[in-house]
Amino acid sequence: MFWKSFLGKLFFKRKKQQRLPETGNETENNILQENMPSPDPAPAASANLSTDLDANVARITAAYGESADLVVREMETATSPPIKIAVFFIDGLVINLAVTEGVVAPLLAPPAALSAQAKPHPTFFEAANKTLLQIGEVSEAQTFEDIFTGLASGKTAVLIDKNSRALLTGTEGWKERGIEEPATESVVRGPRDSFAERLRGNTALLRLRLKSPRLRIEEFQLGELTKTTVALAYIQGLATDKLLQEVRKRLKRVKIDGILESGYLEEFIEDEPLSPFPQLLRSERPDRVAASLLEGKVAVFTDGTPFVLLVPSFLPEFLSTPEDYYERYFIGSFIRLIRYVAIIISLVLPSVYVAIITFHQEMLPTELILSIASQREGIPFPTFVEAFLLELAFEILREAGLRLPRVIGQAVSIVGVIIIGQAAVQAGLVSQFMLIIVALTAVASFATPVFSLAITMRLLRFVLLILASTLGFFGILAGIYTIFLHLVSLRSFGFPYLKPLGPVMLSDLKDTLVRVPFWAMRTRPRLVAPRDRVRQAEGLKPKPPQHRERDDAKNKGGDGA
Amino acid sequence: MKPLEGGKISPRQLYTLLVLSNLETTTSILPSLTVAIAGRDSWLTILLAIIAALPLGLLAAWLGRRFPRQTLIQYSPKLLGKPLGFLVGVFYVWFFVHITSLVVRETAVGFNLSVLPQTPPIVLIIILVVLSATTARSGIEVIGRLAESSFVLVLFSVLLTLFLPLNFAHFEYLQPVLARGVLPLLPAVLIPLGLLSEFVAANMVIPYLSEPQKAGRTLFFTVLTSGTVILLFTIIIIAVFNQTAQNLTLPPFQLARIISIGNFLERIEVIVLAVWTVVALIKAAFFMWIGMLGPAQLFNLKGYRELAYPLGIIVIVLAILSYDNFAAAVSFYTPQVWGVYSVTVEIGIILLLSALALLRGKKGNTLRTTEN
Repeated sequence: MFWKSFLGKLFFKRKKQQRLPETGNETENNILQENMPSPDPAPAASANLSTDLDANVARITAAYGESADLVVREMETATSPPIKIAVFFIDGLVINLAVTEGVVAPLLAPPAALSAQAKPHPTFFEAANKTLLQIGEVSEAQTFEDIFTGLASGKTAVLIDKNSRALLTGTEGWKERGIEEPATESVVRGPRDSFAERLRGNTALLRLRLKSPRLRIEEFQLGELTKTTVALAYIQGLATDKLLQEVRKRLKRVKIDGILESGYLEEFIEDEPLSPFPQLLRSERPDRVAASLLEGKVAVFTDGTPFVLLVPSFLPEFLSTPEDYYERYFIGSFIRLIRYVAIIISLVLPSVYVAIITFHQEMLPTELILSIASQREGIPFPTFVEAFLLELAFEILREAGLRLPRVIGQAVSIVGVIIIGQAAVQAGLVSQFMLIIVALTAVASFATPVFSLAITMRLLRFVLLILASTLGFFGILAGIYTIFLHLVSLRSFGFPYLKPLGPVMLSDLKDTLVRVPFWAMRTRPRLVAPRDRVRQAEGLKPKPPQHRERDDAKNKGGDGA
Repeated sequence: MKPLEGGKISPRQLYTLLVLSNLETTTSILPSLTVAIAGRDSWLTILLAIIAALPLGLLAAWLGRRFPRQTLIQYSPKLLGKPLGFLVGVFYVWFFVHITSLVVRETAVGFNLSVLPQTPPIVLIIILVVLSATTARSGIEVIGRLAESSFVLVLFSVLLTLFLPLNFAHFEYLQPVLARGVLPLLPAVLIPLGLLSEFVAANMVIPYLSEPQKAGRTLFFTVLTSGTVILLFTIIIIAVFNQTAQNLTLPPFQLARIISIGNFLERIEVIVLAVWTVVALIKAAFFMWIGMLGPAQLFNLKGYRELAYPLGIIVIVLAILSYDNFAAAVSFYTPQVWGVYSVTVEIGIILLLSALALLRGKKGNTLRTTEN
């Protein structure tokens, strides 16, 4: 008996143990299924409207549950027989005046001519659509899904009894951040407007700059729950079909519950997810987006963010700003060259310093190395540790200053300057030279106009620092070669990322390291199909007037007479 | 069937690739080698080598164009029959793998001699081989782009090392010309000829050219450019160092070391070393690519990229075994050893195959009907 029960227990236990994970899996699966983004809160949202108004109203209110911001107005027209109407909108997303005067008032009191023959079926629906509603944009909706999407984007839904259709009227209007100066891409000379959060306003800013009907805007809805509108903007004829198809294909691949920023999209549509380099340029400046479209690119707008993705993007563009084109070309070119120098400094300067101090002291002039050596006398750490600590402190300081409220942020930077700058040197923790190097690196990294590239450089700087401290110059060289190799093999939407430096394209070099004057920029970059490449007339280079003496003489004669 | 190598390379990329490959070896060791044999007349040996290499370049391009869709590995069995053609292919591939190991070793030695005296060479060799194998894995397209985009930088640094030490140059060291007559020079011609003829690597690339009709022009200008640079280099090295040039290790590095202008433009040898290392990496990657694609075609493999790291191990071993020190390297690069070896493999194969192609009237398919 004992044996049996013991064995039975054992067996039972074992069986239970075997079974448990299975049931566990099942519940997990269930949870997963429940967590999967279901199409909509109401089970059959894609269902069509019925002809029964009360049923429709019940269904919509049920779908929104107890949501306080859904406004339902059920009313009857002043006609005989009265027609039942229901009006839905979401409070805060609509202009109340427009709903009152444009939708509700005309429906309640239809003109006498109409009310005489009014009947609660298609005639009244058509009349409401064609003559009654005093709203610019009116569209028809067949399904609950359409109504939900419309309501959430600020439309007012009008349901009329005995009709299995609804009218969506464009009453949208809400408190919106106005057009402000761009926060991340400021210029000295150039337009000051920047995109805001709402997609329609952003495309409007673009349309104001590109007035040709060839500017096309295509919209998708991505995100199962957020239903974020994503818009492709391009100039028909300049953006190649191949590129457009590729962008559409990659965007349609995205199946996710929500998209709140273009960064979500960026990670889904870029070519090489494992690369530290930003593969898509983002901009909040309408002028920059317009300029990119003129070069045959595609802009991806995401509702809810001012940042627009430019597809495809190339590394040299991350080092250019719109201002390069607004200032005269000497200045633009010079500033751009400075930026190239700055980004190289921000990448390699600390590691070069560490390599020289650790391995190759002979490379510096004797006086300099002696003065560095005397400063380093009392410092307890090797150069690498010194550099690493200081760089880390600086990164922390920068991050702290960035996130704090502006008033406190200044305090942080003062504390940082005093502690890191003065006290650390006096306490003998770091040498003054190291401080100069780190400060120079930091300043240089601020000169990179696109933040995402600056972060990449910050990241790679630490890798190079480690390489430099282990293998000196050879390590730095190996690191830079690897970065170079990676960049050369990287592609952005099928185009080489380092273009026109990667595969060298002589005609595109005119706008890379330097910017040639506009009259010399006759052709668009090699992104565009060859037949559309010419962008301006020939011989636009300005010249002084030909017959100056004669003009002078004429003027003099005129004066005399 | 998918082609082994799907990439395309432009004639300009091939040109920069070949010029860089040529410059790497020629500038690093050649001047001291030729000076050791031909003394102050060694620039004449280079001139002769250029004159000999120019028609050979055109011949190699002609041969490659005759089989526009095939590499040398693929058409040598057609011309020589299967066993012999296979053997020629093996020699051809071996030669480039061997050169890779020499390049890697020279670079490691260069670092040992200059900035990292205490680092064991094997560490440097392993890192260099890993880098170049990774590059080779990315295919000819990436290698071509690397060469193309670093070309201007390399040329700039070459010109820097050529012209900045001019204030130390004594051109009277070049006189008298031909004091011992022409005959003693002739064996010395083999060394630069063997190094310049590395353009036969193009016979593996011609099927992947985007504009194959420009192959001849590309090879011609390759020889002309790299020949001119190495000619100038030799002249300046003799003018600066006179006969001591034969004892120099890494002449460009030594040239850069003596640069001193206005008491501040000094010690720029590290820049030269850095550029030279990048060139060495590109050359090693290019030749490793041949060393990978060649066997893949010889044995009808389905892919060649998988061979990168195994081949890397072979290269590491070869690089360690190749010689003990720089003096031993110099004794390898003599006309009797290196001259005969390189000229046989490079020029011998091209001459043999061209003659057979002409005599047997064989041609490759120009159309895309049979893709190999």
